[in-house]
Amino acid sequence: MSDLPSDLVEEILYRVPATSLKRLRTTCKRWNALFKDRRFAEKHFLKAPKQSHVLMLKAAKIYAMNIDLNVVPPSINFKSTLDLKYSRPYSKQVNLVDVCHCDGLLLCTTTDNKPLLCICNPCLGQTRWIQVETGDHKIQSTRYSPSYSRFALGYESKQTCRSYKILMRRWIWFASNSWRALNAPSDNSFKIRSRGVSLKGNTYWLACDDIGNYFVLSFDFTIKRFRRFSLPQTLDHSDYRALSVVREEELSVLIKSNNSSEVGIWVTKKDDTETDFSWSKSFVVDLHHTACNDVIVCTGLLIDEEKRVALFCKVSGGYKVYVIGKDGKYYTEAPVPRYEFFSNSIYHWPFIFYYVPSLVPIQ
Amino acid sequence: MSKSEKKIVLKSLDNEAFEVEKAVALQSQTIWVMCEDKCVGNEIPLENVTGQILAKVIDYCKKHAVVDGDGDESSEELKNWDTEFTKNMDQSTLFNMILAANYLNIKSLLNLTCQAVADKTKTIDEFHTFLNIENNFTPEEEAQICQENLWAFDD
Repeated sequence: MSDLPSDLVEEILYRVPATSLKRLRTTCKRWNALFKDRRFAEKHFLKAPKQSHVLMLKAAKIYAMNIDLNVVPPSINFKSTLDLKYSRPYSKQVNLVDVCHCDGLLLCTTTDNKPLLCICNPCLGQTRWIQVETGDHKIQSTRYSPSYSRFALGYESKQTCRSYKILMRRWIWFASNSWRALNAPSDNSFKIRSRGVSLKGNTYWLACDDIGNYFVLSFDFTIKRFRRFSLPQTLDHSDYRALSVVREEELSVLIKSNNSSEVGIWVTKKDDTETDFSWSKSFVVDLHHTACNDVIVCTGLLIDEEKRVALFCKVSGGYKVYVIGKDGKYYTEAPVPRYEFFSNSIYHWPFIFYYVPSLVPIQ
Repeated sequence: MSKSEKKIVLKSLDNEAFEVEKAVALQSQTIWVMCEDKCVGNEIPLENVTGQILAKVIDYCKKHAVVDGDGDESSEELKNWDTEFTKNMDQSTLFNMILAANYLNIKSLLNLTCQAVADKTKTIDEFHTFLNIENNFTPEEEAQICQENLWAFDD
């Protein structure tokens, strides 16, 4: 039917979401080769609609979640899992303890005797395994009790391209060509208190200093420095808080005080020209009349700002995931399977996040 | 500038003539270059575009032109208009619009029409039919690629 020249067919394909293109890989050799082409991937990344998927790290696996807001109360389903194909010598099942992502690249941390990293692009079926050889006794002895967000993925903005890098506290691997280790700035004046989330190439965590002041900590991969930003309100140690990224353009924080049934959801746009965040309150969900009143919120997301729907996970009395809408007027709960090996340690708490697939190749 | 200088005539492949405001026509980089080079008179022959398609292109350009205070529509309204504009076009019209937008070099129209085709094409079969692709994998090769799949992402 089409007599379009190939450059115009490509113009159309740039605008098809990565997950749809992925399905087309098996149907045409030329397209399969095209989708792996770096030049195509770059244009596709700029032009394709960003389709967010809700993923959850739980029970040592990453699950795709399906949340249907068209029914009341919304339905929650866990769908497929990320099936990392291990090549030898990593052929056995490994447990994922942490995950972060940037531009569609997932960085998974597993624990074995030593931390083992896997960087992958699920749409392209590309994986690369990195054994962390640190010689650092502390790291080697962290079996199954890893610290939060030891690793983070981001990029250095260069004029012509993005150079993806992995940050480990104290080391950076340059992802281009070889994975060289370089010193990262050391800064012991804070403790990281959340998993890291990536926004526009930089990673953000909730952190606190020695005297218990909470703030948003960021690592800027371009200037290679940690930076601090304020939170919308002062946090106490006993407050529950969850940091997330919405639509790849806003940071969001969900805050629930220990003695309140209200969960406040705040958002901020990150503007590089500003020195601090300007938070605005998106909405508040009151859990007073729901069965999840006494929750320990361990992770959460803003799902729909207009419909005022939030998703979060509670810990007390077994992990459960909730979708709460319109000030707690309706809600859905779904159990999260436990993984016997994992403790109730905060390092093993589930983690919900948005993920936008892409065709960005692993460098 | 006299009134006639502000108008320009576009002539389609099938000799249909359209008189339009110059500001409307100049959204096409191709026409803009022709006018700059003064290689054409007041009548511009467009040999690759039929009258039926050119009429639609002109509709689009009129909507998007900033002509004497006509250009104060909100971007939200324009976006809605764009959606309506491509909504009922069949695939063949959209392809001809893409070819025309490419020939006339109207970036925003090329973007709109390519996105419309991308949005309307859902299944693998549709991609194959619309874009004339044949499956040239052997079952073994197909199985190999499926092996590489890490995730079904099933919708």
